[in-house]
Amino acid sequence: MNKGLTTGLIAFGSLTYLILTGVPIRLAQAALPVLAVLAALFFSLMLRRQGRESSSSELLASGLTAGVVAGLLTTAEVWLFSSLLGNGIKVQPIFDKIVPLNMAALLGVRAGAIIKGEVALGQYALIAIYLAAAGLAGSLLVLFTRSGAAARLRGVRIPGGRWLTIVLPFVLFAYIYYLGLSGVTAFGNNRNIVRLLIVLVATGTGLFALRAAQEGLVQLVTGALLAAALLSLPFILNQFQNSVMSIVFIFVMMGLGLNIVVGYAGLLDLGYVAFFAIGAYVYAFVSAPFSSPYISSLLAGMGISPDAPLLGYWSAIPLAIITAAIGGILLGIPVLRLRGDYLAIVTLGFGEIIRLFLLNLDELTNGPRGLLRIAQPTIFGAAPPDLTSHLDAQGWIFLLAIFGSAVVAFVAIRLNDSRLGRAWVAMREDEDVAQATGVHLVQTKLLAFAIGAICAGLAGQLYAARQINIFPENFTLFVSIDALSLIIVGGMGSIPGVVLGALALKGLPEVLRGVDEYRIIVFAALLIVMMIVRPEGILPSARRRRELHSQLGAIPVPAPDEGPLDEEIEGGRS
Amino acid sequence: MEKQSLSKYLTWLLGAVVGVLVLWRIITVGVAEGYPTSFWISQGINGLVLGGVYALVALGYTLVYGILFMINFAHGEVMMLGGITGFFALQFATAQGWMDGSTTVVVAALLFILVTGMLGSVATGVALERLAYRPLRRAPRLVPLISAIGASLFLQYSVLLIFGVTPHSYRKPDLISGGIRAGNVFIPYTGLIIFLASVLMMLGLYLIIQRTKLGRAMRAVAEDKDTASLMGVNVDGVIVATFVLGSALAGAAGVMLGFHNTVVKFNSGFIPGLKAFTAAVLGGIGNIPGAMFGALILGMIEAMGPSALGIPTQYKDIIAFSVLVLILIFRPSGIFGEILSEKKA
Amino acid sequence: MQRRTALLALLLILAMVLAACPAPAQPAPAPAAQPAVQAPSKEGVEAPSKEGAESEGLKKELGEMTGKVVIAPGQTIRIGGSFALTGPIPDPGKDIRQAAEIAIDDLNAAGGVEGFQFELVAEDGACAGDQGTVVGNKFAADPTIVAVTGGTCSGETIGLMPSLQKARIPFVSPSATNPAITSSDCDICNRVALSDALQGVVDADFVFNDLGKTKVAVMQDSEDYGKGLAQIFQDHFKELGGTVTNSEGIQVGDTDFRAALAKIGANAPELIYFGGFSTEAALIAQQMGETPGLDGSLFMSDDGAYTKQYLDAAGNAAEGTYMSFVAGATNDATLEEFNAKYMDKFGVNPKDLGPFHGQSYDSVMLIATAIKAVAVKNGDNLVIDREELIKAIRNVKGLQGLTGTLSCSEIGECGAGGVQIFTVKDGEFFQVAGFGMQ
Repeated sequence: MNKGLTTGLIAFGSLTYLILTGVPIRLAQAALPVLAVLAALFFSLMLRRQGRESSSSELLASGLTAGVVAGLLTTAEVWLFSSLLGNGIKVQPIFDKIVPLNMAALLGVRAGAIIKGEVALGQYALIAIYLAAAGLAGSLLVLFTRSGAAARLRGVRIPGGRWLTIVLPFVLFAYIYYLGLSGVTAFGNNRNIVRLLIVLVATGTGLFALRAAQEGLVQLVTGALLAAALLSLPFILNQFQNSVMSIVFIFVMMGLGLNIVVGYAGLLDLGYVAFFAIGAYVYAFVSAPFSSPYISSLLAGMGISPDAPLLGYWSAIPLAIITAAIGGILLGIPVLRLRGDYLAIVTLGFGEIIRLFLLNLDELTNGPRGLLRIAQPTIFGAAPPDLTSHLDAQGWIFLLAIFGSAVVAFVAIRLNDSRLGRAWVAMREDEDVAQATGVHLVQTKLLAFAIGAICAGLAGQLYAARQINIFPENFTLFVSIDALSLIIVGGMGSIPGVVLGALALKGLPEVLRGVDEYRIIVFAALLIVMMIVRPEGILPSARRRRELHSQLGAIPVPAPDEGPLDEEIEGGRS
Repeated sequence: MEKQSLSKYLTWLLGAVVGVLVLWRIITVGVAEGYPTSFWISQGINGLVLGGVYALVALGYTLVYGILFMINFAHGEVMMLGGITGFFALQFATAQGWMDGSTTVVVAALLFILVTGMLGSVATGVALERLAYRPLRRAPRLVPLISAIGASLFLQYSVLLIFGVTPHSYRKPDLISGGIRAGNVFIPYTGLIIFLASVLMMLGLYLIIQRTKLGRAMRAVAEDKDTASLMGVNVDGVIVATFVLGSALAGAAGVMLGFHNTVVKFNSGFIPGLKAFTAAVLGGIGNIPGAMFGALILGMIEAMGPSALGIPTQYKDIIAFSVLVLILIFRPSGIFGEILSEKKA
Repeated sequence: MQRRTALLALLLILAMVLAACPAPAQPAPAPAAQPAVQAPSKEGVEAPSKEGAESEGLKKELGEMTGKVVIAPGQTIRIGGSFALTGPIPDPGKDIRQAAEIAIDDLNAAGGVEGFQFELVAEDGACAGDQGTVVGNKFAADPTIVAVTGGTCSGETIGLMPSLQKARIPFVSPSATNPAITSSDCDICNRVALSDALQGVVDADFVFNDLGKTKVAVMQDSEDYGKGLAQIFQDHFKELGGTVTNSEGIQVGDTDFRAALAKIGANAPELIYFGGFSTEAALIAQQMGETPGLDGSLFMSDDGAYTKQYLDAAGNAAEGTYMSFVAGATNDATLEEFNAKYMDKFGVNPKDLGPFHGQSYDSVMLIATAIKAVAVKNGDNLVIDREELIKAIRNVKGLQGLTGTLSCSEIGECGAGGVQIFTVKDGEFFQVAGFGMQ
């Protein structure tokens, strides 16, 4: 009973949160049923643990109590707000989203009715009924999963499951192609969004397919076919879809690079955006010198016109690599002796310092006004989008991003199997032992930072080309967090994991455009939930899963009574 | 070992170079500008006020780190929520006409607002601990850190959605508007209150830690969680108490900052949170008086730095972050050293 | 794992199919008669126009390749809008958006164009260049967007410009005042607000001549708008013979300006001129009173701070401060009608939110006038040629709007009116100089 009561209260709290953030407005008339379904799922999750201990009737009672409690409280709340609104009292100055539309959606009436206060009591009761039903449904669900029928379902094997997984992405790709043909009217106005969604899903299932096709000829063939399908995408998608996919793959590059620093070498870098910014701004400087007052005058002084790009995209790549690497080393040197949280915070500080410099060094970076009209990458002087109508500007960037990701992935794979890679693993496991076995800590760490920085620099350069205009606001802490989350959610230490993370965290939000405001909140909640439920990510490398789920081989961090350094701290700690 | 001391040597060399450059710059530019003494005193006072705010928040960071060895990334948001709750308390008080009443009434109203703000923060802090941190207590350090980042973002954007995008303005009652004038120097009342409040709270906290049973329990948990539990200490309870204390302080900071800066927004907690963390590290994380002094020093550097170095005031944030980076490179244990438990040895 | 994946994928496909369910609001457009009268495209790539079906995909390709927007019956004329809904001036941004919505309502009530209704596609420009770029890219990638009203802020508009230029989508900004926005290089750039080239000069004249202050300090928020305006003010003030003691930059979003103010206070200027937005202006006005050396100094700011938001936030500190505004030549009678409509639809007085509603309404009307001039019926479709639309906007002359008689110059300056100077007395703005004063 008690469990039911608490669950009901928690459910009420969560529902209040959803109401206050205006979710019912988005759901319009579907608000109540959707919320009820969510409530039912919530109840079943909460009651799951009780499910093991109590009898069916107890469970049902708990569920019902929870539902009734949540229902009555929510009804009271909705009634309170509606009455206030009906009496002309504006709640909005306090709670921005408590407007007639919100209440109307929950009650299944029109907004006008709320303002006039003409809502029948029965409508309010509907809320309580729905939620009570949800409570019952929740406990029924728990009973079902507990029961024999569910166990039997779990045991069912789909024949040929492996082949199904392998073939699935290609079926989806074919559908994508089909949807792009003129004359197809499926999905009406939503077609492009749906097509994008399928693209994301298809790429994702492609990853699973690769995994399902175990080592061998099958995997090679699958891989080759998938690559071909992927490369054909830029030519058949429209500008918007291409722009989404291009940012997904730019972040794949970022994720893979950060993976080297965090996943391989175990150095928690929260300021990764700094190198991204360096790559972007360096390319912007040489490609749009006219945008920067300082560079313009410098060039003018040297007799060179600042109006034309100094270097093309490809010629600027070595420059981006060098500057990013220098940045990485400069970051690495001072933090060689730090670890854990301290390393994280210092790198975060670096990231912010870089952004603040970008913002304040107006003369060089044009400050908040940004660098504008960055040139596009060309091949032998011509930009492919101008040559063929089958490839638009964003598609070209997408294509380049795929190549970039392939290059970075290749580097990452080779490094993983190399001596350096093994040194990183050793360093990650235990620095002192690693050093004792001959690993040069300084070199190893600096190389990790430098290589990671180079990957970010390249991604940044491509990003600048994609954006055409860049501003310091494009390089906030968020970018670092995004990159880190890719690895976390997708799977640390694993390349397919990073790609999956990018698809999910960078691609999906674009599809769910209508819920822009909630994007970050969902993202943030996802981070927390992932950490609690599945910290190793969705597609982790096998080693990492073992690490995070065994108490023994966990990522080593200094034991509580060690400080931030890995040598004795002045102060004489024993 | 060779490489290690080489890097150490290089780092110290770099540090010396930076130090010399900074001093040279201060002397040539800052002094040369010839600001009147009253200017420096004004800046100093600004710095102390800033420091007072940072101190209140830093104390919370230091407490949590001392006991849980995790950085509560969302602490800045705890402070912001205190500011928001306080704002609504202020609206309520204004509607009741308390803010225009006699001095006693206004003072009582202000206390009411302060307490409400603190309660808002405490609620947030406790919820944070329970939902985002407790399940992860035994996880590798990366995990609670990510969770904390998620919590920070979640709180910020929830506030943005729930309370809207317009900044919330605190109207200062006449009682605390204005300040003391001494020649060319001006000390705002709000500033004075902030400074005094933070000193008092620091003392209070210190007393709690050193003189009470709860404090002893906190120190025990900081020393060794498992042994303390074996000795009969309610570890979970102590941790919750730690969060309560830290959050209450942050809430007070949020309300006072609201009055001082007259504006609270959803992201009002982020940068001050980072700076407060810098302050805690500067003073020695886990060290309570250290956090206080670190905060004051940081506040002064931030207020006087740009003028002293002759660079635009917009660079004050960069100065704060640079201090963080420098301290962690050269003296990671902070100016005053050690962690909570060490004090006991 | 494979089984679960397969199930998951199947579920996802099911979800997608369900997502497709919301039937298109309009009936699936029937294939229209082959547009045989389609003018030969300028780009010369015509393949897709051979197909007859009016699917969205076809419409897109047609539009992209022939520089025309083809609107099928039942579809709307889509006008994009970039509004500063988040950022430093959310209330004025909301006001501008809502005024635009009223304009669309009015246009549709009057029958639209040839029976085709208008639709506003609102996006958040956040009053910043990076977000402006994002919005610009969104609009550029959408071939159904005919024109854009916006951005609200200068930086935001400058971010919009490159992508709109490339996509040949003209825009009319109701409130972006930075001079660089309109120029002979940009044929798609237009605005209803008056340029800061005027505001900065009028402000400097006012301070020097009317107020008689010769020693001022200038502050700005490092954004295109604030920095640009402050620079114009500063330059002209010096030309008049005044001295500028300090030129300090701050950041949008900062709340503590005491350090910068202390620095300025050391030179004891008679007035501080701030180029920037409401929130920062209010804070500066307040913190000035606490800074030694600045008591007795006046404060003046610009149209970005001429809002109720400023009055609320600054409270008592706003008394006696000055504000300039790029006002239109507003006709009280038509404004009354507009206010009534606004109040009815949104339940709030537009003046309580921001000052640019008249300009916003007029910018949409301007666009609509130009569209009416160039849109032709082709069979059942409405065809709008982009290049012609761009020229048509520039050719608008003598349009009666809420902000006066609008006529666009060769560089896209379409606004009427002049700069007004206000002071704050008893918590309200009162005009003391400038356009329209007797």
